[in-house]
Amino acid sequence: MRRSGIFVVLLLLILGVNGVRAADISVQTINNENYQPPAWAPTVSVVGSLSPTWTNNAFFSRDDRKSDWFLNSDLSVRLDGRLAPDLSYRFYVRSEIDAFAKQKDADWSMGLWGARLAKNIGEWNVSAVFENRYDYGGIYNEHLFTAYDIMAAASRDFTINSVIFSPFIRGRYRFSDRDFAEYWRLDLALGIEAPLNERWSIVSSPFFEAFWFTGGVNSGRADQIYSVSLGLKYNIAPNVSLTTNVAFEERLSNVGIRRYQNVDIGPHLDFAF
Amino acid sequence: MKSMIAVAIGAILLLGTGSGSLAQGRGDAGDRSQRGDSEGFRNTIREERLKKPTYLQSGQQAPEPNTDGTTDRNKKKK
Repeated sequence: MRRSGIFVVLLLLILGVNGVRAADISVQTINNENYQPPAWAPTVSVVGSLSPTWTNNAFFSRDDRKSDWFLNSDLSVRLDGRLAPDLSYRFYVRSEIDAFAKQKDADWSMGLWGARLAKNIGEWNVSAVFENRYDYGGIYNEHLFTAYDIMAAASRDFTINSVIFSPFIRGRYRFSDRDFAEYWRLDLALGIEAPLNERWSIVSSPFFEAFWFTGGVNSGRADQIYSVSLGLKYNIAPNVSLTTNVAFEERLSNVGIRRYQNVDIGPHLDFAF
Repeated sequence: MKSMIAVAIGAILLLGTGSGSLAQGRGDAGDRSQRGDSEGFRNTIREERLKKPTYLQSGQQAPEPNTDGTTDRNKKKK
């Protein structure tokens, strides 16, 4: 508990200090969105999302479905730089919170730090990622587990008739201090954005996730999550957007009680400075 | 002798029940992160779009062409 408290304090300090720095360079960052920084000039950015969301299944339960509103806050501070013309690195910290209006037992939060190496191979951006993650029940209250994720991912963009498609694939193994949280995982996603005009666009983010748990009470458990979403996005500024979104998610599992269906509806304010 | 057996059986049942509760609790603990995982995944996908070339269509000045031609996105803007 003491260690988790120290971590939260350090995280808040990092977020606070780097947030000020990021604000100072925000204009430069915006004007050079795709600028490839030389090795000697890493850039700092703050990226995040705020969303009041309604869900019809606060606990992701198969049988005990309770609807509620919750606030999702997701904030990252990133340090990006280049080691070579075609090899970039990123160090980052991330904090995410789900705070429910009525179902307080569903409150959840996490903090993590990570490092990423990325390289372009052909038309694909390929990356290797390490993340050290701390999950909590409540708002940084009850430590659930600490995880160490090792990931490999690939993504690219292509455009067909002005519609942007962003396929994404990621594989990982999660080590943890609690054996029940260890698994192999595969993520497949397809980001779709169809611009209507300069400001508005229709967006969708279908994804599939497969989990193969390897430890403790979850050993042998296999889950599959199917998710589809549809939203209308308004570009407030080049670095700020508002998206109203409806997302449906279903989890199948070879453990019956782990199956659920869920619908989330709400606006998302996304920003990058 | 019978009482000792009864106590032993009781202890085993008690331990079994206890470990069952613990197991269930841990399973739930792992599950509690699932919503955040899914939300985080969707957030990441949307946040990545903040830096997509579509923003350049809304009047923003394009960055200088990348002379080393290393990235896909810069290639598209040339």
